[in-house]
Amino acid sequence: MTDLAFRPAEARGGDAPTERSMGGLFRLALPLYLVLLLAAAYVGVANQALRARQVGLIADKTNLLASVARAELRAAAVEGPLAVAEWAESAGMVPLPQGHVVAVAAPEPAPTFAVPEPELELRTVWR
Amino acid sequence: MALSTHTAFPRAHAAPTPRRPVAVANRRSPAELALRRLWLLRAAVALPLMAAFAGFASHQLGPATFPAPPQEPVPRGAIVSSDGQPLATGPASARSYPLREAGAALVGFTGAIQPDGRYGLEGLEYSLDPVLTAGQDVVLTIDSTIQAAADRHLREAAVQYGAESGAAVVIEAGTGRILAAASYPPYDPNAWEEAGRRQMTNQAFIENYEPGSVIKPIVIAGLLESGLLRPDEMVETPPTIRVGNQTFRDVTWHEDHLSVPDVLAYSSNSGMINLSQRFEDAQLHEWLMRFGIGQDVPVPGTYTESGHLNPWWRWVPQDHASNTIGQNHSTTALQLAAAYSIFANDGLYVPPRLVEGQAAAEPHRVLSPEVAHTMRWMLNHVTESSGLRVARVPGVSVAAKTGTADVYDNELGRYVPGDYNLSVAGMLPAEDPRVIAVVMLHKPAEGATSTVATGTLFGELATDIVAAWGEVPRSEALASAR
Repeated sequence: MTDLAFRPAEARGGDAPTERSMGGLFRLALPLYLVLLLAAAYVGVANQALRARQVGLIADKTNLLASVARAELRAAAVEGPLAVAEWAESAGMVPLPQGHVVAVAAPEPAPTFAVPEPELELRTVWR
Repeated sequence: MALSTHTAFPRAHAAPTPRRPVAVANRRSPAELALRRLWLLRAAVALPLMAAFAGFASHQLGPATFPAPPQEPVPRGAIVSSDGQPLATGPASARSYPLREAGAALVGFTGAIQPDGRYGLEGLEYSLDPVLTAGQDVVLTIDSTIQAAADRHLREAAVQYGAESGAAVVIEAGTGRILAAASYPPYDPNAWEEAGRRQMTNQAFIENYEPGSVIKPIVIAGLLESGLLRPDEMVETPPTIRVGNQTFRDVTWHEDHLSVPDVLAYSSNSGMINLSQRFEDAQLHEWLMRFGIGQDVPVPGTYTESGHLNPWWRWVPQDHASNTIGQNHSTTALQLAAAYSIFANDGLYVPPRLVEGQAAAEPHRVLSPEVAHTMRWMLNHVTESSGLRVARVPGVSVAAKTGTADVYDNELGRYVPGDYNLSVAGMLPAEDPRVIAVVMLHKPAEGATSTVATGTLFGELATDIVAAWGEVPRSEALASAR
């Protein structure tokens, strides 16, 4: 096997210029390749940062949707039709059709009187 | 000197020395160089690649790990009432039901994703799952105020009278839009894990019971439409009547002859059985079917039960009589409401529907407008002149009928004394109905009657329905059909 590296240049004939250009290209390509890969690594890091931000935003969105759903639940407990009807009834209101047939006879509950202890003296509650 | 002379000679003249020992000291063999170059190349490729890999895999300095792909919250359309109240809202993972018990059995609930890709487990959440999963909102015909009123009054009545279960249905006249479908016992779909099977069952659409005397107006309407009865006839109404091997009794005392409206007002079994003898078995069966008894009630978007009606050729004489008074067949509350809507719609059967924009089947005529009007007048007479006065609404005429049915126990294989299904079916305003309502209480405690328990329930619900209209219509007296 011929070792080209140890042959005189003239002995290598037409191969010599190609060898030189190939070597120069290799010397340029490697740093360029490294730079590009480092750039790709940087892009990757940036991409991951954006991805992490996206994950965080999605988590926020999920939490917000859940909190909206919970808020609607709480709102219905105050202003939902069932809550309003129960509140109206507890406040002494009557449905519209009964409006003209219901009269407020006793806005306050009737007073209670203590029953007097039994004794010889005759008592009445009107005394 | 000899040494210097010797050293003065050029090396070219010296004896040739082998090249190899000199080269060994400073140079490597081509094979070794090629190997080194190969390793250098590998390192140059691999190290930056690893750096890039680490960069893409994690923005932190550490071992390269791929984080789980971000999971968007699974979108799910809301279920909304016709007045804009959300009934089910939020993503599939955090679904909430703002009205809690109100409409719960109708709306249903979601859970973890199922093998078939569904999230909905019950009710509309199940039956409308494909639409909801696509993120589309579904607007129901339900009116949240009427739905809440139906649920509230049904619950109060069921608790007060110790009922095992119950249902209430409200349908809009003319359109068939279902305004409310309440079910008892209730449950909170926000905590559905704590509910039982009975609570999750939509009693209004699924559970079917023997309806009892609410069927009597249907038989009367069939007789009128067939020309076999005039509204002004007097009917023989003995206290008891024997058909086949069974004796049928009237519950309340009355005269031996009653007008047709009074047969309904007194809910006379003997009068009805006497009248229905004018029908052949097949004719009676045909009229019950025309009113939807034992027939499917297809409501787009949900599931319904069709009840049961035995074929007429299997009837024995007492079956004919039993079917006349609402025994020996079964209906759901929805079926009964749809049947009564024929009276309200001037004789047209308008199929009920639940989802806005989804067309149900085409309406078809069952009765003439005159017979439908006569039936409303008779039912208004029932409300005004019987114990069903409790169902009246101030300022608004009501046309309704009670029903008390014996309950058949499948396990015991017989009717159980003391077990009843109470119901009231009706409409308002009687002269030009806007809504049809049916309320049912199944197996209330002993002593509860349809008039007191379901009549009061109907009246309270009807009052709230009128209140929801925002104004009280001035009802006019129905023109007599005599």
